[in-house]
Parts: sequence; C-alpha cells; structure tokens
Amino acid sequence: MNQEILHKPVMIDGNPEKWLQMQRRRVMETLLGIIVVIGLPAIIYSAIRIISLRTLTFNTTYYLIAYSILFIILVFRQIGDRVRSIIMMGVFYSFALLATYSGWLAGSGRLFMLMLIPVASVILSNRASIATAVASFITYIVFGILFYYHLIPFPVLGDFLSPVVMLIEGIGFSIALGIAAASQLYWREASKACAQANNDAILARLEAEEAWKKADEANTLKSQFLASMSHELRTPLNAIINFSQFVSSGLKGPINAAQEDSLNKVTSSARHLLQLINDVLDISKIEANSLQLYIEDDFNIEKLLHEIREIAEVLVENKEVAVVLDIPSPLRPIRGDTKRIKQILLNLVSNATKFTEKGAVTLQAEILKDQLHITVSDTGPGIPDEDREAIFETFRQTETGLKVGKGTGLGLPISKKLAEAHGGSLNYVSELNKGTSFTLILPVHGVSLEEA
Amino acid sequence: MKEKPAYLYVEDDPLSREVFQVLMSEVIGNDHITILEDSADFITRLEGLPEKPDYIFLDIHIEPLNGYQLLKMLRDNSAYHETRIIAVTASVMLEEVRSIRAMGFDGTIAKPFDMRSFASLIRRLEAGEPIWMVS
Repeated sequence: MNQEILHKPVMIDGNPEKWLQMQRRRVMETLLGIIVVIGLPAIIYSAIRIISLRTLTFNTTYYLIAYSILFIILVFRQIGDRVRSIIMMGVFYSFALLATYSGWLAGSGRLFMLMLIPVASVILSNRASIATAVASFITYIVFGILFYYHLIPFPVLGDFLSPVVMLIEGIGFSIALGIAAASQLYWREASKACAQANNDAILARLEAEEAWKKADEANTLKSQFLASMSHELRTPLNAIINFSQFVSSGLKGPINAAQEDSLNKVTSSARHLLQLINDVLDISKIEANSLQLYIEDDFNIEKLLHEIREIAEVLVENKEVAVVLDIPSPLRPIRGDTKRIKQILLNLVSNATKFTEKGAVTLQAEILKDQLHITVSDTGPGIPDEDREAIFETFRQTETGLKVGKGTGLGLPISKKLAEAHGGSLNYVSELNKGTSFTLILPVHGVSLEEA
Repeated sequence: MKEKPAYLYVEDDPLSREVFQVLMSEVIGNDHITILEDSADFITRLEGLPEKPDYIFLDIHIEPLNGYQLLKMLRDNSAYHETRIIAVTASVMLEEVRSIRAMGFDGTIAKPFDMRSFASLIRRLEAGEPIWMVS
C-alpha cells in the first residue's frame, strides 16, 4: 500500500466538502492575519489621533470598527467558518463602497471591489462570487447614475474618468470576473470529483486488501481441512483394504472361492473409494487454483511407460486385448511431476482397457522438437459426437462410460488440467466403432514458472 | 550380519499397527519388528529395545511428540545416524510431502499400505533405493 497516499490529507472522513472547507478557512485566516498585522500601525495611529484630537472622524471610526470586526472574526473561530467568511466579505465590501465613493486607495476603490469577486470565490463559494460580481455590476450602474445626474458628489481624489467610462469599465470588469468566477465552478467541481475519486480508490484498495487477506485465510483453512480430512478418510481404508486382502489371500486360514470372491468385492470397492477421495481432493485443489506440481529433473519416462504397460496387461487379463508399447527411439529424461504424469497415463490406460473388449491398446511415445508425445490408442467403441464436450467436464460420465463400469467422472478433467499445468495438453481423436486415441503432449524441459 | 533388518514403527491407529504387523511378519516374513503406540518417552523406550532398529517408520501425526519432533531427536543423536527414518502419512497434501523432504526424512510411505506392492517396497528400501511413495 502506498503509504504516501494515505498520509496526504486528501480527505477527512471521506467528505470532499470538509476538505474544501479547510482550504477556504486557511485562505480566509491568512488574509485576515495579513490585514490585522499590516493594519496595526494604522490603527495605533488612528487611536493616537482620536485621543490627541479628541474627535472622531468618519474615516477613523470606520477603520477602528472594521479592524475590530476583522480581529474578532480572526480570533474567535467558534463563530463558524461560513459566518466569518460572510462577515469578512461584508467588511471588505463596505470598504470597497467607501473607497469607490470617497476616493480611498488613490481612486482604486472600484478595482478593489472587483477584486472581491475572486476572493469571494476562494473563501466562500462560487455562488457567492457570482453574487459579488452581480453586486459590483449593480453598484457600478447605481454609482454611474448617481454621479451622472450629480446626485452625489464625485470623488475628490483619484483619476477622474467620466462616469460613463467608469461605468463601462466597471460593467466590463464585473462581467469578465463574473465569468472567471463561474468558470471556477468547474474547477471546483473537478477538484471535488478528483478528491472523491482518490478517496474512493483508496477505500477500494483497502477493501480489496482486506478481501484478499480473508480469501487467503479461507484458502489456508480449506487446505488444512482437506489435509486432515484426507488423513481421516484414508486411515480406515487402510484397514478395510488390507484386512480383506489378508483374508482373501489365505493368510488368515483357508477360505473357499465364494468367500474369496466376496472379499475381493470388498477390496475393489475400497480401492474405488480411495480413488474417489483422491480425485475429489485433486478437483478441489484444481478449482481452488492451489494445485502445485512437484517438478523433478531427469525423470525416466521410458521406465514409467514400461510400468504402465505392465499395469495395462493386468487390466486386460481376461479380455482378448493385446497391449503394445511402441517407442521408436530412446526417450531422454524429461522434467515433470512424476506422480502426476503417472496419474495421467494410468487414467488414459484404464479408460482404454475399460472400453476395449477386443483388439489392442497401444502406447506410443516419441520426442518431437522439444515436446514429448505420448499416445494411448484403443480399438474400442469410439466417442460419439454428443459426448465430445462432456468428456473433459467434471462429474460427467458418458452413457458408454456408465455402461462399462463405475468411474468417478473426474479422471479425464483432472488429467487434462494436470497436462496443462505442465505447460502441455491432452487431446483425442475418435472414430465410432474404430477406436479412440488420446495424445498427451508435455514439454521436455518442464515448466519453469509453475515450479514447485 | 543379521538375517533380517530390524524395524521400529510408531503409530497411534491400532488397525494400522495390526496391518503393518501382518504385512511384515506374514507377507514379508520379518519378525524383527517393534511397534509403539505413542511417542511418550521415545528415546528411553528406543534405547531399551533388544535390537537397534535399522529402519524407523514414524507416523507424522503421532502424540505427544509428532513425527517431525521425533526425527529431530533421532538426528541429534549420533547413535542413529545410520538408521533410515521413513515418514508414514495418510495425508497427501503437497505441502506435507515437501516438509517431509525438507525436514530430512529418508523417505515417505502413504497409508493405506498396499499389500500387493508392500513386498517390493520393502525390497527396494532395503536395497537402498529412495522411497517417496505418496499415492
């Protein structure tokens, strides 16, 4: 998490308004501070004058009152920012009016009034500045009329422009600044939106991190659960499988054929149950994306294929099926997860032998370029079109499959995922009544990214 | 040179103990086996055995001290440097296999034991081959 983002005072309680308010207050207090500090000599001077002359002139009185008000609103924060800002603008505006009328500020009173427009925008709001612009506009028209018709004396000091020019100048500035103030509106809104978006992004990031942490915890819990469950489930199977075999093999005394047959059924069911447990564990690992391969270098694939051939021969014992192992040229050792590759080949071979009644199951292997191609073909019934998609889906067994014998429906999907986890693939071709051929392709150099 | 090597198996599941007993004495024909039900006073009982074991099979999830702790005790003891120590586990999680290898076991066998392949497994073990059989 970028700590800088968190420490930047972008937001307070996720409220952009509060942040803007804080900016406004800063500007207001800075302005007030400057005025109070700079105006102090003038006030002291005015106070001395009043005391020494014992008279109050209008100007001096005005200065004293204005200064006091500004001083009070600077110090007494509890008045509330909005009220303070309005009072301050009021004092400034009164000053601007007097300056324009009395020729203070060497005749720059009207400029001072115009300056109030952006100030209002910064310390109050855009609407206030537009209101200030409108007020200036009206003030100029009124003053213009009053001066033109000599209803009030023209300012003594300052640059004397004709009232009309002053009027036009004032109106022009008012409009220009009013537009500038209005455009502030968009800048403000954009700032607000940015600040809000930043805030949202920070919150979203925090939420995502929280969610990720929770998911990670849940995954760990799940893994631990699976580990202990697999332990609990497999321990009694140890007893079931082994004790039935002890009796059926005659170790516990002579038994007759019928007893042996019954016990063999017990054993094969227990083995099937074990396969189911293993498959379910695998599938849940795959689906949690926590399947990991244990890659070993120099894994002798030829030796494994001979082992698989032997197992296949046992599986087709009572059938008119031949098992053929075809390795055209010696296979060099490859990198891969031994246990998992054996699992894939066992799955393919057990399917092939399961579905084939007559003919042959062929195991072919060769290395082409940097890939190991292993093909398991059978002369079985083939895979009908309507089953083609279901083949690699979990828990789906085809009708042909169900007819021939119990499976878990997980073998092929798991095999395919295992092949892909190695950076390889598993595909097949099939012809009805001719047979099926599954091809497993594995990279010879193994997977460097998913390395255990 | 003994005829048959001596085995020690520490296992808390009574049926698993019996399976091992039958497999070793009746299928393999080796009676030089000792089986402990828990790991209490392990070293004391180990040293009290009539024969020093050549192979020690440890159930990982044994109590009070688990398989890993027993392994450490054995490795720290120079008297058992020649002993091959094999982990027995019913759990097949990759993390467990990895830690078994990392902790320094000489091999691992999975439960359930398979009667059909047990004989060849023991043969390979006694021939000095590494056994990493997690089914």
